[in-house]
Amino acid sequence: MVKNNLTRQETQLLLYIKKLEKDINKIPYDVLYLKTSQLPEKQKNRFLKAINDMIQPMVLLHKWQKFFLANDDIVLFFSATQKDELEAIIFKINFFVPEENAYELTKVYNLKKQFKEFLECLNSKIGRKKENKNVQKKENVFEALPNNLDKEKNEDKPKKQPLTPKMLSMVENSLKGTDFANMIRRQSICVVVGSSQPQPMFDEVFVSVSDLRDTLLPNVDFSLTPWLFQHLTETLDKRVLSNINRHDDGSFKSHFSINLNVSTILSPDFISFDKGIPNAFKNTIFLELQPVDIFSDLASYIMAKNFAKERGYKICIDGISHTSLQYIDRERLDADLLKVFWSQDIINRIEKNDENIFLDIKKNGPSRVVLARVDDAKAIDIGHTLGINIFQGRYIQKLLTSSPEKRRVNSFYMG
Amino acid sequence: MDALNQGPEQQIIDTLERLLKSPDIFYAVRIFVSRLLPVHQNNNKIAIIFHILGENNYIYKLSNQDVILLIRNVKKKQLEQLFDSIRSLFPRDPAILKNPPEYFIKTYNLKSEYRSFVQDLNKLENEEKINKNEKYKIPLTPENLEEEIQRAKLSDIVDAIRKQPVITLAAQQKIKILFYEFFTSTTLLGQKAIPNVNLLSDPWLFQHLTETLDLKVIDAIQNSKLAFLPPVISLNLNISSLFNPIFSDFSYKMLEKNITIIAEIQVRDIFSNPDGYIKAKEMLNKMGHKILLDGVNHNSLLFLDVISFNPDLIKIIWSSQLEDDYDIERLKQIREKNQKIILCRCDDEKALMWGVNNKIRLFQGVFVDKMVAALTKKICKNLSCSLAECIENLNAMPSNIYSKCQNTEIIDNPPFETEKIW
Repeated sequence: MVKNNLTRQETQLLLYIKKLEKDINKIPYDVLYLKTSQLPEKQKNRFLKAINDMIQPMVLLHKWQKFFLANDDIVLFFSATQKDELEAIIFKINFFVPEENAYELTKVYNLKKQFKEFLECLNSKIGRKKENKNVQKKENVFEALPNNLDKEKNEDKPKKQPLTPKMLSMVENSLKGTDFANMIRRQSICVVVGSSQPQPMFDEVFVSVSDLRDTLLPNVDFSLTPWLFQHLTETLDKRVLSNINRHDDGSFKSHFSINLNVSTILSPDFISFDKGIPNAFKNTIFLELQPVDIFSDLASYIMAKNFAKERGYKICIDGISHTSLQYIDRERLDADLLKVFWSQDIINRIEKNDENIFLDIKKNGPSRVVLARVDDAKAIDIGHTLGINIFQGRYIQKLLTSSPEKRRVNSFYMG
Repeated sequence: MDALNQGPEQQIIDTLERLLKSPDIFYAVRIFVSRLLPVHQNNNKIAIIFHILGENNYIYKLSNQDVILLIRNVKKKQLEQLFDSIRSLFPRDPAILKNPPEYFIKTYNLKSEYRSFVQDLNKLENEEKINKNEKYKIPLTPENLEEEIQRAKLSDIVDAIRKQPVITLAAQQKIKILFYEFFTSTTLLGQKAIPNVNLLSDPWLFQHLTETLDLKVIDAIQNSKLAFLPPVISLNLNISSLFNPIFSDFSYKMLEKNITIIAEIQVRDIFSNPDGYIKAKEMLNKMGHKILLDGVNHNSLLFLDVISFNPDLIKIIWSSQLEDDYDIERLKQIREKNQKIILCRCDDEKALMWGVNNKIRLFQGVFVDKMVAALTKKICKNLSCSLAECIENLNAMPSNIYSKCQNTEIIDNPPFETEKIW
């Protein structure tokens, strides 16, 4: 295959293929061909950059090979034994691109059996006139995850005292003078396909409510006065937002989620936040809303949701139990993601052959559900049974931080 | 001309006098926020409109909330994109749904339409204030919430409790009373019992307050001198209140009197405690009592699968938006599931007609109160009270009735048939 007017990468690709061709039966790689040239023109650079960032850790760690064609398609040679890892990347890619593009975006070739077919595909694509600029391969090194990432929102064990209005007032007043940055935590939301290692998609940024309780209100059970607790979380979320607004070290620029009330999205605080986020990154930021808040005032939710989505943000409905999942219709609410809490009850339901849990997940699209509060491997197995591939929780954090290699992966997942 | 002598309107005129000296073409855009539903007219939402309009220097807010943008040499396509963004904030507002585009956003070419722009500025529509509180009230805060609850006299809280009938229409222009809803009127509460704070300024704190109020309503019913209680009564309750021993005692006492209780539960409460809801429903149904899903409006019908809550009754809030925009399939499905629908806040005949046309049989609201009072007055021998007074007496709790109504016999024995719906 000799062509003129090839770019440097295309030339390198052809040389690489020539090397592999010497003994097809011994090729240790398969190929993922990404028709990224088909993505919408307006946001193509943004998507190309995001996809590059997803692939890059595997290129560095596992010596996968990537090549960018002049027409903006991407060719990725991956280890044939790492199919689960590849599936996880395909999952992430499909999640971020527009739904109508996801369908025909990816094609995998088994090089031992489909080498000729792969070459024919390349032949028709390579040497094409360049339509767009090359993707910039900027690598933003994500700061190391802080220690102690236990996600403990709403996990209070029953204690004797309820939260009273006076206590609430005391807590909220003492928060005014606090150095809030120390209370902010992160926890990763990751794709786990088969037995692959967790691949981070984004981080949730939150205040540890149990840290707060232990410091300021020991022996208080927040669940006894849920409405006062809602008031408290609304105050906390506003502080997190303003803290993010003040960060100028680049640590809150993309690939994160924050918890917000509907009223906060409709407030000047959010407008300030919005001004601080580059347009290119807004579609990597999830706004997490609680069902209690959404259904308190649907009209305001619709308005806030439209406003946020117009700006490129994504909506995640948080705090869904396996019981309340039946009431939620993700598509009707125009949300991008649902966060369902893992609990032992889910196993009980499956063991009792309760079909409804499967139907509820299916109705909302399993690829749009995060199983959160995952505290052991069983939860991941059950999640996979339900068709879920996105997870969050202590166990996921443990897997992510348990080895130096994985820590390095973490450092590259952020765009 | 008076309107133009004040604030933003005059500023706009002064600015235009300066700008129009330039050869560039200027446009004025008027966004009629005042034509939106009241719920869409508040400072936060206007702030978003300002944000969408971007860094332009010439944006003004009129005294009636309308927003004016003065813009130079802009392409029509650019403007349209801006307008689409603003319209998308209020997708279900009748101002946008039911009217041509220029009803909500109107553009004036100031070269040719300067005069009509200024004339329109003069016509400030909908000058009623958003917050109609005559007396200045401080917002409800965690600091003042507990104080205010403790300061409130029990008798003043009980005075704020009202009952309102739910009826069904029968043949020959007759009505049947099915049950009474007992509730605390926020307006009355704010007038006497808790007069210093704006109770609705913080929904979470107010919801917390209702947990205290729930139990007061139960108390008031149990201790009332009400001679007549229909076979079915309803109360607004938090799920947490259903597990309170006070409610448990009350539910048994009502059973002894052969009275069915309908617990009216808000959708948001179910999401706050979904397991509690299921347990509460089981518990109530076992005793023969019922659960009603409250606060379902036209948006809920569109965005929420209300049937999945499996309540015994669903209360749909009437609004004129239901005339144009609701999920008719959903209503059909609810009926097929045998979940009874009540159309509440029926403030006029239009509401009733919509309900009847959609095969809804149960109604509640101001217009219903008028019907009940009018029919009561026909039979009542005392003609000295007005329709409004009669409504007040019929809906009051006994401690107040006996001082105002001259014919308490008719309240003790309402001249209506009742119908047991289960």
